Amino acid sequence: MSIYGLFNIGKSALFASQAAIATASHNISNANTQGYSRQEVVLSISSPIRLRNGFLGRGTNVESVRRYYDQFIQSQLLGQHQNYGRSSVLSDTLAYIEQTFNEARDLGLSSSLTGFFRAWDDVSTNPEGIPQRNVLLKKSEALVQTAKQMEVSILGTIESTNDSIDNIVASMNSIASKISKINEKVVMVEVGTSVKANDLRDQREELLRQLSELTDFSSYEDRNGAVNITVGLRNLVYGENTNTLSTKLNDADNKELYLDGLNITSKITKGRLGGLLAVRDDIETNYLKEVRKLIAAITNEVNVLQARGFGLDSTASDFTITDITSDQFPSTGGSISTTSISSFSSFVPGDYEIRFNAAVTQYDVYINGSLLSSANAYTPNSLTVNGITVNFNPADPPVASDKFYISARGKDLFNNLSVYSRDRDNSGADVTSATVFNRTALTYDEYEIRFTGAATYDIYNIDDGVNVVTGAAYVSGSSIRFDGIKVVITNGSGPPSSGDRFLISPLRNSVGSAGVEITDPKGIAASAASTTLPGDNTQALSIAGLMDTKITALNNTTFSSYYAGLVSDIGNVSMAAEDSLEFDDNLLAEIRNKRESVSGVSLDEEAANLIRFQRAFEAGARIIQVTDDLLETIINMR
Amino acid sequence: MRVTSFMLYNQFVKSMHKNMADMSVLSNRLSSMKKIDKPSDDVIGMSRVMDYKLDITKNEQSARNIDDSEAHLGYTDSILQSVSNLFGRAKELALEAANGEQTAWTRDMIAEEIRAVRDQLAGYGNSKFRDRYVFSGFLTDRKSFELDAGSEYQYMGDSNYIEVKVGAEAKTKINETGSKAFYDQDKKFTNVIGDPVGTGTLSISVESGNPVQIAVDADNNSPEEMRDTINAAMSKYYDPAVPELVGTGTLALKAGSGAEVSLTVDALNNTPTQLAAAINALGMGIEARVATDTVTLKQRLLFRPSTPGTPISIDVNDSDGNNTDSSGLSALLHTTTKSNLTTNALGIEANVINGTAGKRLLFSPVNKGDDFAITVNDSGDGNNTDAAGLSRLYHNPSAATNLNSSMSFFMMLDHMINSLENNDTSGINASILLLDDAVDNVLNVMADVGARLNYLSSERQGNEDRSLGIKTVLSETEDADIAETATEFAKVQTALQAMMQASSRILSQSLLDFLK
Repeated sequence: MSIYGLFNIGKSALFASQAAIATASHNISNANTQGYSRQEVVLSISSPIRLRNGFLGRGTNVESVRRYYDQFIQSQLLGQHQNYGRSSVLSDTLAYIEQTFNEARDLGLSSSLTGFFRAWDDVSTNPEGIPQRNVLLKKSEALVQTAKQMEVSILGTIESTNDSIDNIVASMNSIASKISKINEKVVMVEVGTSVKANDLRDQREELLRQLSELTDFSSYEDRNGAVNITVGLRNLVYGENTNTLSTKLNDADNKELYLDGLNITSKITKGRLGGLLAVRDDIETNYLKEVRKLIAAITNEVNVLQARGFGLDSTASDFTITDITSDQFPSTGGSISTTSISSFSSFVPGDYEIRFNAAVTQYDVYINGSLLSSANAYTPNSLTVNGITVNFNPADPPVASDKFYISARGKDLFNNLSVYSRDRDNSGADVTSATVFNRTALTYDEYEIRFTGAATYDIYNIDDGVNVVTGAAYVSGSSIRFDGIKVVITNGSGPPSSGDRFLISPLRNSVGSAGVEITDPKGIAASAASTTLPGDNTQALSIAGLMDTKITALNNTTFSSYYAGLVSDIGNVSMAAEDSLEFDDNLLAEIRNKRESVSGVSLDEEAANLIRFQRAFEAGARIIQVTDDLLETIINMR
Repeated sequence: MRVTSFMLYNQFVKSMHKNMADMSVLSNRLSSMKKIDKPSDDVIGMSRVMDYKLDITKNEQSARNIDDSEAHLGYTDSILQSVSNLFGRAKELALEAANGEQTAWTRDMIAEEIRAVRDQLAGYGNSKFRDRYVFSGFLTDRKSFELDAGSEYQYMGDSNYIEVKVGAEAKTKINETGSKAFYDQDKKFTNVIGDPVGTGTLSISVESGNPVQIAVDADNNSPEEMRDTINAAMSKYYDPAVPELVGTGTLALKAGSGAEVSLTVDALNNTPTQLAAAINALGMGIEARVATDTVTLKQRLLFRPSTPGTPISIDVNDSDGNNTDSSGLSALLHTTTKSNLTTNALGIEANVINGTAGKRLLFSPVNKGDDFAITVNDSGDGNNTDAAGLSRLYHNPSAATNLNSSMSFFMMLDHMINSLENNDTSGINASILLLDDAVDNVLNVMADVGARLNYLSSERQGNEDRSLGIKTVLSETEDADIAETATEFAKVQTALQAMMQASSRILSQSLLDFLK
């Protein structure tokens, strides 16, 4: 080996040290960069020269720059970020919803509810007092307003989850396009070599981590070094290309996710997106619906009793008598021609059922479900009960064992429940009317009419899953009746077809279109017997008693305990979300620590390295100096 | 394990956040003094808090209702007190008027005063409390008493009671109706009758017992004569419930001025039926019969003089030698001291009352609360459903229904006024007795009202106790324990400081400090 070889060895030492110092500096400068993995120069021994008596080393080579990176920890980190993203959304949103139902500060529905019934109590102690009646009207208004505020706040939360979904989708698309660009560069740099594009890969890992906070996905690296990402089994990123994730409104005005032309909403369960989707459905099907159900029950039950009483100045014209025989007993043979209040002084409002015997010589009368009088002699074509005269159609008289149903009602306190309907599948037929015909039969549940053919349908109670009607025959334009509700479906652009579904809900508008119908305090029905009894408080007592009445349709609980159950429910769910957020947060910190342990930059370590390689550099320089001296020695030989 | 500065830093930040969050919760708890700030803080606690709050609100409402009811009933009570005082005054006047030294002129003066009493009574009856007529039942907007065409006060209200909820399951009636407070419930009276009344028979039964037939003919058909006949006939003698076998011994029977007749009672005639038959067989002026109590089905022996009005007496000589115990023949006796049989216990008393429109017959049971019925067989004109003859006694002759029941205090005072103006001493005397009954009636109603007031005050006590109890448990569930929270706060604060100190030492450690 010539002496010049020594220069080369010295040079390789200098280069190696310089590269190591450069890498240490790179590490130090990126010590605080998110997603950075520490790097290290990998040195190797240069191939030695073979001498007769052995090998002589020729210095060192910079083999590569290696990145400290653990694939296992990285994938754990991505998974945990997905969990954390979901938990943080659930916890934040539920904590917000919880505030809507916060009874700890006496601002929730509970105090409006008790205030309303207390006002009835006050009316019962002083039934002729106008001030008490005015207070009751104000309290009724307050109850409705509180419910509306709650609904607005819940709907606002749903709205904002929908907005957040849009924002997240936008960031996902932006991340996807960044990843695809990095893919392009990585492939360009790495193809055909063993060189790793360390810094580009770190950038890509960081983008993947950001994506994992937003949604659950699966990713794999192909042999060219490009990362492919699938969301909900559809490609989001493949090589240098991306598919755009988009949102569309569904029939319930909620955003749904489409990727590569397919609805992937149900497949996304994790990340912030998964959290938003879950919490949105939870709020909608549980809390929003339960509030609507409660308000529907309160307004309807109060109305039923209120309409059976007398106000301070009620007259016969305040009462309406409706013949709902055809809805209640469709099989009744005869028909009623007219009904009227023939004697207001003996008039009692209520729901009347008239049952004829087989010989049509006698009839029994039931009021509000209980027997009023039995075996009354019937003189054809007319009868009078409690001041109400019912005339039967002489051409269509009652036949054996006929039953008739008439409802005599006064004013309502709250707006009557309206029935909401929606065509879920854009079928040819439409719901042309949906009404409550017997409000004492309501269950406060939602229903779905499902067509099993062009002329047959089933009715399901969505809430308890019970099949209310099976295989009924459909005739366009005729009434469909179940649980107090009457629906008319008419052929539109065509008849319905199998699989058509119609949502029928007496709850949907129960809060939105709630209101106080009575404006004159005298109209409040405190009296059960007659207008002329101002001191009669019996009806007010029964309405005030509703507060303590267990309502069958509300799982046999009172209004307030039903609401308390709802509040506990939300408390529980919110608490669970908080707990799982804490759990996920801890786990995430643990995994991050692990990653730091492997990939993190230790400034002390790098400082030590700096000194180490500085010394190595100095020694390398000394080699050159020594070599130079050697050369000089040789040159100066005389 | 390789530890990097980032790890130390992360750890520090995380535990600082945790401590800060704890401090924020605790400081919030200290400022609101509440342990539960939102449902998820303590789900079970929250649902209890809601229950307790509901209970407290209900209790408050009950307390308010109790206040209202108490005010209403208290007012009613004070009015009744005034009525009772008014009757005291009326009785004084009546006693004064009954004095034989009074003349028609002075009685007229007293009548004037009673008239004033009557109007004052009407004033009380029409009392209003918070713009409601208190005695009108549900018809609170209507005057309770008004003068009718015949210048008699009539009750205009109804018989409904206003009930108010004063507890979870407790209701109380907050009013008293005029028909109860201003009416003597026991008495029944006829329509205004003329003189003569008519002829026929009256059939009077007390407590559904066998009716007593009283013939009304030309000899006794003025109101006063009828009164005397009825009073005499209904003075019955009877014994308490007797056993199946009466016992043995002798009975000494005496009617009017007739001779005493002795009857041996032995094993042959000692059932109630046999004994009654044996006495009737004597034909000595006493009639006996067996009456079966409709409720207890026990038998009684009833005795009455064959000639109405004749006094009768029955003495018992019991063969067991003891005439004052309740075994053997002496069981017939009303009391165990040897005395005669009970008189009049099932009877009724008749009075003539002078109304503004004319005379009426008034019947009252001797035993307060006894039920009685009077039916009329008008044999004078043979028509029981017209307003002529004896059937005009009926309240509603055309339907042949029974007599008017419940005499109002106003009718009673009217009677007094008319008796005074007519200078009718027996009427004045009768009115003293009627007044006593009326005062009794007012006192009864007052006792009832008082009982309700007592109930309310015990309900109030219970209500307050409950409120206190619930408020205590509410506070235990919901309120923060200040000492505990403050201590905890101090603890968290110390931990935070310790951590900061430790961190400042650890984080500042760097190799660079040692390299020169």
